[in-house]
Amino acid sequence: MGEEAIGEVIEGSTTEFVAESRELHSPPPFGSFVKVPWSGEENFQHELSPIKATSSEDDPFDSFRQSTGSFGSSYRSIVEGEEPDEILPGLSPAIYAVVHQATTAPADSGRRLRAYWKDEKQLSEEQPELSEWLLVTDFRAIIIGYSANGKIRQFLPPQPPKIHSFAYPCMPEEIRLITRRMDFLRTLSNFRNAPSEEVVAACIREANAARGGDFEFLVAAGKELANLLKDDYDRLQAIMRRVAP
Amino acid sequence: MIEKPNEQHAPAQPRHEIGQVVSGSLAKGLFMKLNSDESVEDIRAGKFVVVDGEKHHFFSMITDVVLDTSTQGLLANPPGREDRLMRQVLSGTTTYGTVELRPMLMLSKGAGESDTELRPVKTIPGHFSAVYTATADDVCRIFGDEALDSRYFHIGAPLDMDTPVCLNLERFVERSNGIFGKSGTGKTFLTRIVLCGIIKNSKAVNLVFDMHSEYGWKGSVEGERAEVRGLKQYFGDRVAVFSLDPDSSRRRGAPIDFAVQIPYSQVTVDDVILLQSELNLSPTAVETGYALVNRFGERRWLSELLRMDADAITEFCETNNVHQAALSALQRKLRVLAESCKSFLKDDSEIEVDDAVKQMTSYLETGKNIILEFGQHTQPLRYMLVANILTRRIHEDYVKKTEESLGGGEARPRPLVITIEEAHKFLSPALSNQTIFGTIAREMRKYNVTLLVVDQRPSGIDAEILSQVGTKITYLLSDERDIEAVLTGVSNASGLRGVLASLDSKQQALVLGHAVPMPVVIQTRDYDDEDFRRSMRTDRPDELIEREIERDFS
Repeated sequence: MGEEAIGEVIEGSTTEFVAESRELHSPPPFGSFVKVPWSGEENFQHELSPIKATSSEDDPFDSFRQSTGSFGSSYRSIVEGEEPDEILPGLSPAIYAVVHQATTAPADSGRRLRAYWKDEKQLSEEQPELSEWLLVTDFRAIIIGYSANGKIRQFLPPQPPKIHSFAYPCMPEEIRLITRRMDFLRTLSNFRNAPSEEVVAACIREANAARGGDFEFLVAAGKELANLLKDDYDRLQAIMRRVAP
Repeated sequence: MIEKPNEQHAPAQPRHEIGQVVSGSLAKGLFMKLNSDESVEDIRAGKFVVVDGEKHHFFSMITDVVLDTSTQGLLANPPGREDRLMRQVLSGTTTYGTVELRPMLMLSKGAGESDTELRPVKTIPGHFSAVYTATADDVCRIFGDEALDSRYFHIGAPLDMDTPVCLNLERFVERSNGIFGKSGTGKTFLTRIVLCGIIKNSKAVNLVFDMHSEYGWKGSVEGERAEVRGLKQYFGDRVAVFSLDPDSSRRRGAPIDFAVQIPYSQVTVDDVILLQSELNLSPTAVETGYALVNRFGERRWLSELLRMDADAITEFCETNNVHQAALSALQRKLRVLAESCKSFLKDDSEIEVDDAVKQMTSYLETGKNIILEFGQHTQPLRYMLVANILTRRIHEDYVKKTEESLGGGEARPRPLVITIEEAHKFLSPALSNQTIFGTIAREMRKYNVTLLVVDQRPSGIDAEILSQVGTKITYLLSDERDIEAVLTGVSNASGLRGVLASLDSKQQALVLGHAVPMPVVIQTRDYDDEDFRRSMRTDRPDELIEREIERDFS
């Protein structure tokens, strides 16, 4: 990946991961999209298994596919008409997540910090250890989907991200792709360990910004939320107030 | 069987989906959730839509539109006026339009010939069946196409469409029909259009009691044009104008074919009883009248009565056991009647021209349509008297001829359509049993005579007669009782009630009954405009018609 990593995964689960920010006090923005590369394509060959049972006799391309290896996967999907518009051959496999929390704390959780009563400049001169090793900034991100075989999936990946893999910010182009469908809003709005209205709103703002401010997108996202939240009109209103242009 | 749509006339146009069926029942109609990109304001009551079921197409009419919400809390705290985003988000999701549909006809999607018949609905489409606006194809398939079949006659177009809705004229003239609506809604225009259709396609011969002299030579019109052509100008010799008031016709510059005069001998007691309320007759007048008939006979009773002096009355009362005061009162009132009608109601000896009834029957026999202008005689009293006398005689004639044809003689007489305005005066519950019009309305087509009732107060018409009316064309009615009356005898009337009350105040009508396969709201076509003149295709040469159009419309 061309971009610079902004964090390294230090704790991972199926639904979220924790990454240590590369720089102290500079986690990725709240609600922003991050990605962690993973080895989806190699590990999940079952996704490529034939959709219908075919034998080499009735499938003239079978031998060809076997000889061309991984090329066969996207080729086959296109030929068999499985949502061809979703196939993005240049897309590298990654897990996508939305940042919902960032904390800066002593690296050693047993250590308690004291106040120094100094201004920032003075502090960095007199106490360099604070920024060099004593303090760390972590961020937490909710996993909203992944990509494999050139397709974006808006559901949880089969396996969590690996510890010590790097986290990268998503480029606007990627954000547009990931948010083309609105299923991620359900994952976000159902997440209980975060101020979900704020996360959803921030995330929609990010996605909207990646589109250069598209009112239609806001309306579409809002409609999806209206369906998700059903009776909870107050919550819908709270979110929409936070995303209104 | 309804014809296949005309390929040229109705190019295949894509259907436009407006929503999907979410609930409903055969008895109460269907509910459709409006698609979120459709505006509720585009959905109008009376619009014609097609539900695409699994095995059938269901042709339906929109009867109601409801604003619905999935969250009651929203209603207590609606989004701000400026909050465009929130309003758009809510529209179609939390707040949405529910549209009530009334399925009317179903058409099997099967390709077999036997399945192409339109049938009344006996089932409903499944959940989430798509609902489309009707296409020109659908309209042609249901209402026929006048270009293909002379039975059909274009009277208007469905709401928001240009495709013609046609009346099946053969079915139309089989029953008595009604054109209702508040005054100024376009009843007379539509009546002219329908009459033109019947004459043009020679489906029946017409007798029009033209109370306000609107049909014969020319008619008045609101708006830019001062006048429109009457039927005589369209059909020339095929229409004869009779007049009760030749002076008025002359003043209006309207040529007439015949000045009507009615001899006393044609007036029966029944004709007089019809005028009971107008003449303020007492209940004993009937008995007194019949005593006179017993004594002098059907043909002479009236002239004898009018001629009696005081002595003759006394003498008559003594010999016939009649109350003298009653007889004097009857004489007094009938003298008033004779005086007010003296220009056309005359003693047999004073009649200058032939008996109008004889003339009329001979015209009708040869297929000529008759318009009887009343000129200045627009008082209900004269109108009712004349209409009743003439109709009774003509009806007698038709009954005789029909019976002869049943006996193996000549062919059945041509169907006759009698157009009457202010029909509630003839067909009120109190009178409908006595007037000839009540008889005609009840016996339907037994003797090939039917009525075309034009009225603004259908609640004044006997319910029994209204329920026998075959095709009803109804403009806007606002009185609850009138709406109730028009929908008498209509199944599933509840949905149509809202449709009827929401019609435009002009040129929009609900057509239902015998001559259309399903009820439909139409924008009625314009009378006497360029298209209408061309479509009438009278005997006159095309160039002449075009020249007249050029003159009148440019």
